[in-house]
Amino acid sequence: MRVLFTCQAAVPHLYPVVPLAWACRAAGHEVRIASGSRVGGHIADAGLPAVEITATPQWTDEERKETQATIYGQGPWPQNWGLDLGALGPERQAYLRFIAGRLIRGAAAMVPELAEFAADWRPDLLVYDAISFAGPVVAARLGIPGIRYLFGTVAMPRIELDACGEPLPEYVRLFGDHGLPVCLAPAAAVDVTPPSLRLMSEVDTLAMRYIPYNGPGVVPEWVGVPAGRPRVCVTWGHTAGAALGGQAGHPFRQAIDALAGLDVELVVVTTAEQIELLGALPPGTRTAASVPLQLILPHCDLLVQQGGDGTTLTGAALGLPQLGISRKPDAEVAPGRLAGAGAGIHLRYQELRDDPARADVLRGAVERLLTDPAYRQAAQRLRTEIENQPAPAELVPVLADLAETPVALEVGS
Amino acid sequence: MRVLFTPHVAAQHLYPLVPLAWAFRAAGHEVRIAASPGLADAIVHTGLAGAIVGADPPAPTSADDATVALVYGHQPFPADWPLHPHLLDDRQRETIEVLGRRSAVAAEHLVDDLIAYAAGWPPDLVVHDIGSFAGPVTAAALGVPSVRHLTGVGLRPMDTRVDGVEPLPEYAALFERRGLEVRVPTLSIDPSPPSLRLPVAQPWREVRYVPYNGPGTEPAWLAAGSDRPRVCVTWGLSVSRVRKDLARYAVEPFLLTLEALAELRAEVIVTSTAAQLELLGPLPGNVRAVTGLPLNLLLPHCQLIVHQAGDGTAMTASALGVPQLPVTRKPDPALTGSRLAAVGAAIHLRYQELEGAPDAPKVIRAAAEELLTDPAYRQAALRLRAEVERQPAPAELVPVLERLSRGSG
Repeated sequence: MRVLFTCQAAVPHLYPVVPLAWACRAAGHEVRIASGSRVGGHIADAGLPAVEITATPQWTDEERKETQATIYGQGPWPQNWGLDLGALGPERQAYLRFIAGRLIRGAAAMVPELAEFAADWRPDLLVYDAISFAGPVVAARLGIPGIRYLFGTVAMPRIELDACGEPLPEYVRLFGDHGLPVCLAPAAAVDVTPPSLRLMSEVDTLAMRYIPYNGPGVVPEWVGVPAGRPRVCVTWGHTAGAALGGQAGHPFRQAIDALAGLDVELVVVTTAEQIELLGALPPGTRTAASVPLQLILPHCDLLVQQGGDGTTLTGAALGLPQLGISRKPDAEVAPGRLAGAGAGIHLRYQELRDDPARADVLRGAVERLLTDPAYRQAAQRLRTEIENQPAPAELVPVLADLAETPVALEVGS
Repeated sequence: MRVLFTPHVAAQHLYPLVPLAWAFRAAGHEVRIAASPGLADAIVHTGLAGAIVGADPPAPTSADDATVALVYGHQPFPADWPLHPHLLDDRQRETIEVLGRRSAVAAEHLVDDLIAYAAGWPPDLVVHDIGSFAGPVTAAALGVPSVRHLTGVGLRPMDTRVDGVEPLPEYAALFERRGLEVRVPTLSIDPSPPSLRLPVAQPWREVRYVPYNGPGTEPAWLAAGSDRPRVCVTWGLSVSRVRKDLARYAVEPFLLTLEALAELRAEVIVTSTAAQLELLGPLPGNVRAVTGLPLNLLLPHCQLIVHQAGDGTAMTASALGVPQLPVTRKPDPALTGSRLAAVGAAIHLRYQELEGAPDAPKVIRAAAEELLTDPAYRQAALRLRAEVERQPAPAELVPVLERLSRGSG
């Protein structure tokens, strides 16, 4: 069969689906990954055939700034907020509506090119990340099953629906502009989160084992040499630097400075540009630019991270206790769930920022995570839970069956 | 489980292993691809985790001229020669065995480092390509099974003398120098489809060839189509790796082919590397030269491929059902070319027979025209494709190799 994958043009959306795409290919199926130009090189780096979608929404500078300011200007949100959207106040509901509007506009720009490619290549199945709404539109247009994959997120509710579960008018329009009734039900949803981190379950969910893919790379030589003291990996993903510039590094710079006094080896892993944002680091700090986390974490004792979905799941898949320092609503849920599972501690930057004792708070958290064996045991349980999920290879026959199931056109409201 | 893949230091030896390595990954196993520094860039672009060990073999020097002249300057071999090794003369035997000796040199440059790496990341299984002797030596040092993965039809197992089971002395020496017992692969994997296949030693398994030809993006102009037939011309990856003043051996057939196709009513697409394009110089007007476009993305849009019959190129074209015009000069590609012609999916031309002939361009052009117009070639190519698709996928090999690593294979 032919499987077309599509995702947001950002690596956190691409990476979680790479093992499934390769599983399809290794089973003899053809795959293509279609996404925006920004991520084309990353698709190719994963060894997968990329299809470049050149059209992008034309954001003005003001709109861009507004998006970032809105996302990073949020105070702390309630624990597990995605469970009950109705309980969120009007401001927070407006926030979700704002994000949904941006995503739907992005999807509208992408639909024509994606539809054109798909009409020519004729996929049997379209697999799209949970917030790439061009996916369901093009699947509906071709009359093929759409598979929604949750990109490791435990946080993102069906943001295209309102608190009562009704589609937003702009989501209905996204389909209507192409003469289609709105389609709300994918043929299935693929979820890579382990049960104890999962916040909610959608109907027809296919659980999948999370296989860490964090970009290409080679194993650094130093990982094989024991540090002689606990090794603490500090990372904050790929995207914050681009979104926030210089201030993206602040929470991590503060964490690094706080931890420098402990008897640990600090390893800072992120992109070269983001390492640069940190400035001069305390002596003895190791940096690893663009080395995939999965190659470093097996040699570490603790992961300090930003609450990113892929980062959290990679740490969990490798059985590491984690300290999550979040600063935006969608990044709060994963570390919150980790803490709930006993495998980590969750701190909010919005609270740390103004706390004069923050260095002590950070040091205390790290010391507890390193010395209390309960955290490591919980992290190992989480790892086992992940390993007990069906591997991507086991999902391929399920997808092949779905590809042969006729699609019933659903008439939406 | 942990699976250590180790290819010979050349992209065309790495690529056939990639779908199997990802099949292991997608089944939840851990994978490393270990090779010397020269392969680092190619490994990184597979998305698989690399481990860089040892040193690259030394670049060819003028001392290797005789070898290069031998490999490129030989007379055509007997058809299907691996089935009739007694028909080879001494010079032809030497031409084949020289490949194994070069593999032994490459292995010597990295094997101790590879063993040290594997001691720190103990694998349950070692998978190596046909040209990597470091694989079986490392597996022997660790006491785990080793699996040899063929690249296609042309490259034959090169760890023995041409006509028997007697190990090549240079292969045996790699084990003996480390106090290890000389061993043969626990299992061989052959990705060639049944009608092209030549026998390999028992035990062996077949696998579906899944094209991976390096990273790339499908350009929009391909999907837009063309009013003329599209003909892909490629000369593989090794041309520019030959020492520059010897590159002519590899480039001459390539240039002759382009000259011959210049008057073909077709859009000729040369997919190549920047280094190769530089060697080629100015190209005819009907040629569109591209770099970084993997064959598996290009070929679905082509009606014919003209190539040097490297294993990866021929297997990719077979897997995608495209008629082929191999123009060969070396013995291993010639083997592939003649097998492809035998099943009706190709016309095979030998450069030795074209070289210096005044009508050579006409012969090549006529072959291309016949392949484009006679539907029998396309039908044979599609039969070959169907045959490739009936082989068990790499994913289906994973449980077989799991059992092998547990000693119950």
